[in-house]
Amino acid sequence: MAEISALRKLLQEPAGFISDMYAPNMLYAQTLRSSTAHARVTGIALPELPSDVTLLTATDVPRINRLSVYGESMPLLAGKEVHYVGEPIGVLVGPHSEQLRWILSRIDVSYQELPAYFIPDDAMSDRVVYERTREWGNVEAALNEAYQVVEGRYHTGAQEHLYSEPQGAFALREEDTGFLVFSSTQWPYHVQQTVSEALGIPRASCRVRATDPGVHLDGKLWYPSLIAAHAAIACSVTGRPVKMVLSREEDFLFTSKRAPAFVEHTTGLDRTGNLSALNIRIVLNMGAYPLFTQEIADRVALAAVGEYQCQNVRVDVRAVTSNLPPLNVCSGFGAAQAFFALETHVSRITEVAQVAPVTWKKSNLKASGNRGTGAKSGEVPESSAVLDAVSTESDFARKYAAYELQKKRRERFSEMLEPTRGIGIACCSQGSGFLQRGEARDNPAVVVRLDKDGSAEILTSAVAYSDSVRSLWKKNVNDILGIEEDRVTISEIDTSRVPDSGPSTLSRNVTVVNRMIESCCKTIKTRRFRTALPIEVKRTARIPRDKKWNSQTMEGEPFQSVSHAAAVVEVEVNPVTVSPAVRGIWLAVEAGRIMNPTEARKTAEMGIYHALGWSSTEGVTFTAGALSRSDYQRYQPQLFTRIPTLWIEFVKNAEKLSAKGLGDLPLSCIPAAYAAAVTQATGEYLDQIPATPRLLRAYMEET
Amino acid sequence: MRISFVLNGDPVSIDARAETLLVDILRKEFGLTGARPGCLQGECGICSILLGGELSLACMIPAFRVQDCEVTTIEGVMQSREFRDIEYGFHRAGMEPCRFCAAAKVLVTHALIRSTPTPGTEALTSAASAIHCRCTSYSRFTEGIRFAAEARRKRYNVRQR
Repeated sequence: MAEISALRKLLQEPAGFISDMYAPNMLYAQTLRSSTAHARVTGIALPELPSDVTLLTATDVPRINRLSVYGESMPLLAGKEVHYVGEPIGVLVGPHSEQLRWILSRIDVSYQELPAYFIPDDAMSDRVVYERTREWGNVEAALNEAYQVVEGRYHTGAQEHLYSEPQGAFALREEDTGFLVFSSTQWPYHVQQTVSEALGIPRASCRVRATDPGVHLDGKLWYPSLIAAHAAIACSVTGRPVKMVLSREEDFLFTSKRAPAFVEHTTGLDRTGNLSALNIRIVLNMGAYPLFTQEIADRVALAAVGEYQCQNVRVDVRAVTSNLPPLNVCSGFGAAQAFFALETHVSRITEVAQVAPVTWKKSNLKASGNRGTGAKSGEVPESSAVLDAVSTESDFARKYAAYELQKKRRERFSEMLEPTRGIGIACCSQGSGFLQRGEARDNPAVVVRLDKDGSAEILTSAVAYSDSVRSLWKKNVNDILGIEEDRVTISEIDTSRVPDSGPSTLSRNVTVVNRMIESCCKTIKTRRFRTALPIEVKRTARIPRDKKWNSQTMEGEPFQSVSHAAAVVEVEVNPVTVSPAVRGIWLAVEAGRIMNPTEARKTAEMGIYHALGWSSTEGVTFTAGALSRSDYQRYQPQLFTRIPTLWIEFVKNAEKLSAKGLGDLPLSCIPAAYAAAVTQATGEYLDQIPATPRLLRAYMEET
Repeated sequence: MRISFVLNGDPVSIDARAETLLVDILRKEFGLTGARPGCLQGECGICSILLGGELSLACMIPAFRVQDCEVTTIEGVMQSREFRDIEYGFHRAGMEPCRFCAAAKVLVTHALIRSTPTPGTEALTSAASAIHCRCTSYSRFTEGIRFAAEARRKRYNVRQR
């Protein structure tokens, strides 16, 4: 019964959302935004402002008007030029939020329009900000000699993170330390860096407290730093506490999204239908201000070939800017886009080569080498085990053959009256943490403290939105130090107290942070009973010496750990509504040691629903560089006419292994499996997601 | 205008503009932060409350609409014995909503099992789709509702005996 009260406790505790925070004498802040995609700002005409209302612009930023992420940057407030619709130009501060909204609608910004670009094309070479090429063998020769050549073009759209609370921050002055900023962030120390640079104060003079970011899909990685800087600048100028929270609509219309990708595959097959050449071109649209570009593009380049072996490969990845809002990170950092294209293309290959999908995949999976995502030399591909698990459990081979036969026998889908069915399979992998070099970049650390009363405290700035990660950390302490989990506490995230553990993304909480906690506990174990309590140990993340990675040639082991998954999706499509209903989803995951199967399963379930949303309903289409209110009203996460049956299994789960990330895996394999299933059910070759009913109807009209 | 209504069982009266949204009244005038402003267009369900016992969206209800009505928020539902069934159901299903949507999910469950003691698949699916939040699995949510309904039925049967 004690655990039953968890829900009551959750509801009774103060939620700690930014929108619930108030302080005496508090002001509100709202953003004045660009209404055009690319222009020079020639003037800002203000209505008569009440004495207690102030508009702050770029010239009011006390020190550095810039948000930087690993060498890339964007202005906090646009100065003379705006680069996307919705770019912040100013911050309006005043005591009443409704009044601010009214004033904002009456501020007239005049522009001198400049050319704007929205969709990458070959003529835009000057807009390429990063290129990555991976090549081995001789692709051209192999394509010329290929028995069959299969071509395909794929597109994945932007995806809204749709996190729980919209972006927000609360800034106030503190007598002791300078500024206190509450931020709903995955990366508290980045908020501290951005705010301290903007205000021109030492980092220690800006204390950041992280509030619950909820399920964020990486949408709260860097954007909260921008909002926090706006609130802090307003607080600095006015000397009063300032709260800034975006409305859900404003958040949807103007904040960052998943980077859309255009992918071209040209594949050579030998007489047996196996891969002989892979030529892949990928263009990533990074929006107006590219951030995390190298990490995203490199991960895309790695995932583009997936787990398959091929003697002749060329992968070209280009990241380009456009006049769209910043488009960068979303769960998976680009791997999901590359896997969708690859696995959808593989479905096409198996159809052309007339080979059963599972047979083809297994005969083309790499058995050794590390060209792909970092399997050790001589390792048996883990994808083989997960493929076997899902195909057996879902009865894939039989259903696939039956639905294929139905597809061939039936008349056109649009003339059908009864629902038709389809089934698809896809596999993928996930590298945890940043690419090797990047993981050492922040010098992340964790502290574990063993107190005199026998309790332990974990001090980390890692933001864990779910209990699954927190329970994993506590279990680790319990396993190593034998301290009951209810006597292990995790400190509140306050930069004045916890060390910088780096950003909470890419399953780093489960891998990098967890390993640092392990390392701390092991050291405490050796000192315990020899050293007086309390014992406090700090450990930083280190790249294991045996993990070599050459970022130039992209040879070696890019990640500290790689997990694998395969998924089968079965759908039924009603020919009248053209709305696919998912009948069942089977997901097999190899993610090392699963310390808490219940929590791991919950994480996988969440990922499945996020992936289904991106595959089917969550379409973001910019018109002339902007999203409209109707786009906002239409955007919806997955809605169900029936709740699909879920089957999830963790394979090769062994005590001796360490935990690996699994949160991004469903997003990398389910979309392609879904697309393959819809393709089989409708007979319409689906080469992009989200596959909304509107898109499916358009395909049918074309054919 | 002066607006009087019953809030979580107690008669209350406030001065508010007729068009003020109920979600703002609950949060600002009464400090009841369980109902959260979400999409503000009646889609996400995060602002769910009970109006006259019916599940309603507080971001769509202007102040004048609640005149002489009975409004129940999560804070009110938590005081009822019926909340224990939902606690049990959610726990049994491993359903752990986030802080943002927990109140709305409890209210959806509460409203459904009150009106439909034995909800069928369609009703469960519809209820699960009423709240848009990325935090939980839909299958766990429907299971949670089903177990809560089961607990409710069991409790009433025991009482009848």
